[in-house]
Amino acid sequence: MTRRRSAGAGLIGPATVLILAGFLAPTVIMAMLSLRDYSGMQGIGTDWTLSNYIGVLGDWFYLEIILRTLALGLGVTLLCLVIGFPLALFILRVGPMVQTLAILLVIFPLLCNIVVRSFGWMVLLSPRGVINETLLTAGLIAEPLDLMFNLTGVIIGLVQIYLPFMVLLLVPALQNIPTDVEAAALTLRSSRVRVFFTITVPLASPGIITGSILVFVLSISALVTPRMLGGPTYRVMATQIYDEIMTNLNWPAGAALAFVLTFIALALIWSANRVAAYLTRGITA
Amino acid sequence: MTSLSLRNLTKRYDTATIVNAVSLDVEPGQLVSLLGPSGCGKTTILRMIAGLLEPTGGQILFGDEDVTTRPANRRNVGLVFQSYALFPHMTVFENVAFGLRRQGIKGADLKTRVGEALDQVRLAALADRFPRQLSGGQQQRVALARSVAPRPAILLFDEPLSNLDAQLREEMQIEIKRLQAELKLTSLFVTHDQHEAMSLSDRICLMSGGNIQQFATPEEVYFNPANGFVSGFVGSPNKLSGVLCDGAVELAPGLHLPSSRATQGAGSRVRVTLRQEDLALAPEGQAQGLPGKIVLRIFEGASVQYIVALTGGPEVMVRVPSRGNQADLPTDTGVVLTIPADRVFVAPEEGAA
Repeated sequence: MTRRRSAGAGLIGPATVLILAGFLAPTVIMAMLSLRDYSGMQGIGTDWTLSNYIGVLGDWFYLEIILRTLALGLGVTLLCLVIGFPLALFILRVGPMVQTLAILLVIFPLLCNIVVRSFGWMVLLSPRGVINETLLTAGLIAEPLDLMFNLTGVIIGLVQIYLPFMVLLLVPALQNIPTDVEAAALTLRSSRVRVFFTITVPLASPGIITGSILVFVLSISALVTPRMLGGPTYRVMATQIYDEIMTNLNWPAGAALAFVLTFIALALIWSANRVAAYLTRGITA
Repeated sequence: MTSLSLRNLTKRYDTATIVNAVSLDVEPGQLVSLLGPSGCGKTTILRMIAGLLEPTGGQILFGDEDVTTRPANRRNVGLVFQSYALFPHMTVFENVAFGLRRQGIKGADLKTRVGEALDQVRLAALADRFPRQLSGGQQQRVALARSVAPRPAILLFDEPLSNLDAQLREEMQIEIKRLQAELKLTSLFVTHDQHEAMSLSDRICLMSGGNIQQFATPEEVYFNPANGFVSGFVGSPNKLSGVLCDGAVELAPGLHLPSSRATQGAGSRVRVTLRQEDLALAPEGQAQGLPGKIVLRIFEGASVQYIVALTGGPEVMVRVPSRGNQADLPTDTGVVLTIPADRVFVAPEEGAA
């Protein structure tokens, strides 16, 4: 018994050390930093204060950034869901050959570096980019569309990056729905549309919720894509944290903003889990 | 009450014919079984009637109405699945109410109708449970209530008892029979279990290879099998081969068995079917028949099964009542097997027909 216990401790030892040193310690240091006072002249002080949090949550400059970030996360998540659901259904229903090919195509963007991908989108979306040039030449638009350095550009870029996560989580969720259950609803006078919304979607809700949480959290914490496709003046929480710490050297403010972002993510995960538990209470009872 | 008719119903996938021009009439209020081994096309027929599969050809009629191209949700059928197929995210009440709501029934009316349906399967007390919290038998009774609650024109069963253990299966058989007789619902029951088909059906439609082999009452199917396939499928048959010779079959040199069913010409090779329960057994010298020796005795409770090696011929299985005179014969006892001439079923060697 004792030997087995020490063997168990040995097995989780390296991981424990890594988490303590690589995650917990920096988090604690950042938490402490976020509670330190700061002045432009002296830098980080030694007094404890809540002013960094009050500054973030009481200033419309920051509140707007927070709201914009949440709107961005919501938009990306909904788009991933709307595009990903039919794609997941397609992957599930086609023959094995097409299925393998489709999954490969879905995963393919993940194999490509994020900076390269964003530059790719810049080539496509810029005012003189491929899309605008094509539409202008075809005479469909008179002026170039604003596809970049705004919310549109950032959403397009993020949706492409996070769609694979959504699809890869939806496929097994849909796979778990017995076909007989949908057939039973069909024979009970329900149209295919009604079967989809009353049977398929609720039964796939564990996958929908997991996928949505993942995409949302990844979107609100994304740095590279908003910076590149949003442009230098487009601010979301991740870029603002980066600027506070790297440009303004205001570590306490950056740390406070980072913790606000973390708490938003944790609160969302917690409440989504509660919703999931309620929706699937029959399935997991 | 509606009748159900199939006219030359056919289903083909590429070159494989699953259902081959099947025509069948189910009288209003009757329960007909589609009985056959797996892959005989019975479930395919059921799914085509429910509207879940599109036929390649032929017609499906409910009464005088041609429903062949009507979508599943407008056919007014009830379907009970082998897998129960309950909605796991809904309570028992909501499961049963699902079809009723689509008919525009709500409020107090809905409560009454769901209550009625659950009473019919004696599950009213469990209305607030989720399917996961019920036993297999209870789940299947909920499924039964769910499919009869909207008062369908036709009730379809797709091997509904196959996932239940033996004792529950018998209880559910009685439950289904009672409910079907009470509601006088025209029903089609798919099964591979002949006992289920025998005990439930007004008529049995025995199928093989996408074709109907015999469509008759259970008694007729049992006592007068239409062909070699039917005699080989129903009861617990011994399948032997022999050669015809003048009103008898020769199982092996010197082993002759009189048969009143031998219609083929003398000298042709035939398949012989002897039901275990039709064979009688007597100690050596006490009767005229096929001589043999007991190889094995198996006590089964209500019956005793003997494996008897015929002298110079094949082994056959014999089943006798365990309280009868011949229930205690030890192995190696010499015995004589007898069987009435009209129960020796003979069919041509090749092909089921």
